[in-house]
Amino acid sequence: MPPKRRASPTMQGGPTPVKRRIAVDKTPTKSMPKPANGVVSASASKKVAASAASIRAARRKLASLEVHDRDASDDGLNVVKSPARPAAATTPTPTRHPPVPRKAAPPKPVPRAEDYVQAYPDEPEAQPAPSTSTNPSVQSSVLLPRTLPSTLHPFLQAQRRAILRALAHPPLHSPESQKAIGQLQELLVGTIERGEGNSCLVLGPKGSGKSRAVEEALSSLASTSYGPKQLPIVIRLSANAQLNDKLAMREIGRQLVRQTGSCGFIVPDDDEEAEVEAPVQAEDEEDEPVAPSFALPSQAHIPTLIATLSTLPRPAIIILESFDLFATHARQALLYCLLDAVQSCRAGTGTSGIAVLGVTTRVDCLNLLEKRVKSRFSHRIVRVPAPNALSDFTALAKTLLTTPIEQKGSAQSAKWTRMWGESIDKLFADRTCIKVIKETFEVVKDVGLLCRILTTPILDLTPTSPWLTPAQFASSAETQRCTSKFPFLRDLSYPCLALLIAAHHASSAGHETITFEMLHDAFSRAVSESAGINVSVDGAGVGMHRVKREVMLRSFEQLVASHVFQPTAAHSAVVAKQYVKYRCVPERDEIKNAIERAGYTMLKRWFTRWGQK
Amino acid sequence: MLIHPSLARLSTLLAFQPPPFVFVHDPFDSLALYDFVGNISAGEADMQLAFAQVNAVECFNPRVLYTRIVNALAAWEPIWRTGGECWGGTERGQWDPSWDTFVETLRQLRQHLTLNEKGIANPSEPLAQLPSNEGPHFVVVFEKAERLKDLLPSLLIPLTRLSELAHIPITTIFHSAAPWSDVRPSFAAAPEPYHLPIPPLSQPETLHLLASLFPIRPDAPKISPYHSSLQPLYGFFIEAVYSVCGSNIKEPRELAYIAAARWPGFVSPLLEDWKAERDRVHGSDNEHEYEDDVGSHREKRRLAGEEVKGQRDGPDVAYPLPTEEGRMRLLRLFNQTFSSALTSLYPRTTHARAWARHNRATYRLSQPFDSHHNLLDISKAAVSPLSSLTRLAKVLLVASYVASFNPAKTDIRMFGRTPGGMRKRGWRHGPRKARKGKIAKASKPAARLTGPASFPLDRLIALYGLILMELDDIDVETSFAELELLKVHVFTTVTELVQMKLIHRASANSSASSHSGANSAAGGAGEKLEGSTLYKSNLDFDAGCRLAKEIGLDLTNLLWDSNN
Repeated sequence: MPPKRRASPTMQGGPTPVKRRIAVDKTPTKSMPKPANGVVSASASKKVAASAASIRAARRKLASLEVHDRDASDDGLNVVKSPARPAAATTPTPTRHPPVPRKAAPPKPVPRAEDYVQAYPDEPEAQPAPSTSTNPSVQSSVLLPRTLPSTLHPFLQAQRRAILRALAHPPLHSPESQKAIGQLQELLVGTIERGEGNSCLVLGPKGSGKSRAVEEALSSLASTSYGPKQLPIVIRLSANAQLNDKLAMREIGRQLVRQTGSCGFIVPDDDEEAEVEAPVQAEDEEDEPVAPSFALPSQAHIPTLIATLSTLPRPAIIILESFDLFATHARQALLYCLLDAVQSCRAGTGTSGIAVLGVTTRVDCLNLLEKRVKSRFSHRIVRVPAPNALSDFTALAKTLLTTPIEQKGSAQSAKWTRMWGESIDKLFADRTCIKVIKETFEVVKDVGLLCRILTTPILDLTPTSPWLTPAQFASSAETQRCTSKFPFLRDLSYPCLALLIAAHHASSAGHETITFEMLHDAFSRAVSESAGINVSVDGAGVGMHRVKREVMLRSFEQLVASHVFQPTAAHSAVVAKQYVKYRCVPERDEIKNAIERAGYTMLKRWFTRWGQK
Repeated sequence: MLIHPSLARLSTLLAFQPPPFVFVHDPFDSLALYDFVGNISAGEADMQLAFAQVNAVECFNPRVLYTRIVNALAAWEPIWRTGGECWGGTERGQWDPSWDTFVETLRQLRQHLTLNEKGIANPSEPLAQLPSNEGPHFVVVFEKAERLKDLLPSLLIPLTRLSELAHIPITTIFHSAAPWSDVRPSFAAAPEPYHLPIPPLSQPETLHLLASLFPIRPDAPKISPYHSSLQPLYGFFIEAVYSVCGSNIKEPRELAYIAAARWPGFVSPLLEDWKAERDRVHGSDNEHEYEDDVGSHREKRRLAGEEVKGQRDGPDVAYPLPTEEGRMRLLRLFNQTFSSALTSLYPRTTHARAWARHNRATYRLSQPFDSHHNLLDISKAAVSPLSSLTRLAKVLLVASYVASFNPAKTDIRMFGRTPGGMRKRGWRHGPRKARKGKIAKASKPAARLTGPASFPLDRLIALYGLILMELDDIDVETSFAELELLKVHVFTTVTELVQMKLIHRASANSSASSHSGANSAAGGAGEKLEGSTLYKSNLDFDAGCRLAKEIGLDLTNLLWDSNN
């Protein structure tokens, strides 16, 4: 038990020590789900050494917090303090340090968004004046004002900016991906320094950072000091854009011309044909003022490009995105030529090296290769895994959200950092938030998705609502994960909802394919039945509204346009539009929810009446 | 400019850190009346943003798409005199429309713009790669992006990956009414976008938006529907329109269309009053009739220009807005026309101008209420184009309807006769009910609801004969009947009806291919009618009933399951 508890703060640890304290405080009382605090990640255990220093820092920070707390309560403002414990309690037990609420609010098992935002009108400028707190049991965490004082507005803006930047480029910090980058670097260094011919496959699930790993390996090469003779030519191809080998060859030529022509190096005349002539020829052909590097090698040279790759004065690195799609090209000619060039590349013979990196998500990619292609491939596979522990995932989210802002040094910025860290801690102690992250992790393990989920709440921050809430988090996750295909059903107009109900009833009756006539017929029957109810409220009948056929037809078209109804057959000019067969896509539950939340009583009655019959 | 709350989020994102790919799901077309690019460029961006907005319906082939994007990003206007040359085009014409060239052009455009910004005027020298944090950030917005999947399927994946393929900072925004799962290419080949759902506008938002669309014309004369003094009344009018149409229409654009069509008519009684007041003050020398037609602005402006302004809009004439009671009167007068506008303008059975012309009011607000009848009987039944057909064509159309909606098996039961010419009994019983005790299968929906079935020509001719018998036009005993049915004129009429699309050819291509050029050049008159050509009726039930009534029959008596 003790080591586990010791480890948990480091695992949750972000840069600010305050956060650590809170996280530990809450752990026993708020009954966080197991995976969030129970798992000790490998990276966390490495950080144990660093934790001692951060504990000291936490104590220092706490002193200032106490001051802040005292200031606030001295002002006589209506402040509800959250349960707090002394700074020494880095490893507390619930029995020894029960939460001491200062005002009424009993500790709730699940804290909600409203609980975090304390009533706190424009607070006074809290200066970290030297002061001591007398009673350790009433020390509080930083109080988060409901609206942000104007002095802190720039910091909120800077924080949003910093976090959005970080979200756009999430770090690749897991040891596995570092290993992958290391392998790639090794391979590239072999090609560049020793002139080797290398081929390898970078394999990993979607969103795991394959391309980022490749880019990182490349950029690490750029930072090392290679002479102009060794700086590699990087050719990037993607099977999504280069749909066939001809286009791919053209693109290779174009990129070669751009990189060799623009770097201004001089090519020895004897062993170069294509690349020397190409720029010259091309510029002769196409004399356009704005577009100099439209130049291409002449048509005759394009097929020989790959053969001349190894004769280039600089090593070439060819990156093939969507490698599996290149295997679908005719006779796999490009792959064959490239891999053949790689294989025939002899180190130490004076030729420059070639590296071919295929990037793909397909695990059975090698099976797609023809025998002659496969035998030329080195079968070297670099795997880039997705984060494989929930704690890594949570820690990543937390690191991203606590990205430090640029303006540092002032007391205000320290205060802001503290408050922000506090709000993030509270967010991550919440059950809803943890559930969202856990679900995301369990479904896709995609860091990109996590970043997209985090983006919307950050965008929605304003000085009047400056803190992230779990509710924002949950709704953003719902949107970004597309949990519902038709989230707008309940906002549909009355005729559209009526058509949906009719479609629902038709499918209950066994008619999965529907036409407009069927739906309209069902609707007009329902209207006339409900008109038979001889009751009126305030002089108006309570029956269903009658809607003209033309309006219904237009509403039907509206539903078709938003893909709620999808045609079951290809469009035919012979079939009149009211008889075109469609299928109702939303599930019964979705329709039911929509009807119940839309608030048309008579429609609801029509919807449920069928079930009772 | 109005800012949509959801787009404000996007503009912040673009200003801080533009994502590579955004999907805007807008099922209610709520953004139609907003300036999309204006909205999303409203944020104070860190970098310079360049926008291009293209419509996927309009850009139907790669060349159009590429040139549109590049020209918009470069703010380049093709000029007719220079051959409509696009940005970066060579003197001999356009650049070739391949993906690689497009991407290359984008790169060069970025370089060009960056250099221009820096003041370097000589872009012809080969340049080193620009660092990614310099230069403008491109944003390309695709309207109706769901069409890309049908029109340019091979471009869909590259466009979603534009930023990684082009290696320049560029954001692709798809704006679509369809959900992402229907737009995205198969096999998860596209990266996941940042999703931005657009919720429908709430009632206050819609009202605010519509009220902000009031077209104030600074040069409008005082007595015109678009004078700024009428703006408060416009707000009231919008609320009234919304209360009638709001539950049926969620798209603000459609509401705005109805409002635009109705507004000149709505204020015309008031304007008539004002005019009368003006004439009273200035004497009745102004003979110009005010026209409430929405399309006649040009004429109005001409009239306004001819007249001396001071004479027309004398400062001494007060033009009061209607009181609460007056507004209620207006509402009572026009409430019914709002729903008529809904039924004819929302489905676009007619256009706003024609509708406004039909529904103009020719009285004054201060007139007593009884004289307003002309507004209430505006909904004249349109004359059906079918009633001008010949009797032969009508009978053939009814026969085609019966042939399409009755199963062929039931013909003998519906129309069978004894040798004496008497009708067989039990011809009107309809489909048999399922027996008790049997497990009921899902009943088939009525033929009337599932659509017409196809039938051969022979059956049409036979039914034509039977219907003639029902009408007692021909006597079945005589051999004359046969002659009557197989007259050339009958076939010609069928062909004509097919040409008028009242009857569809279900098997169009099979016989069309057999005709050589000479025959088809004769306008289809030489088309082969016998053989296996199949037809389908293109009448709906109401039209069928009307035609049957005109020839003196009850259509429901001729249909097998008419009671369903």
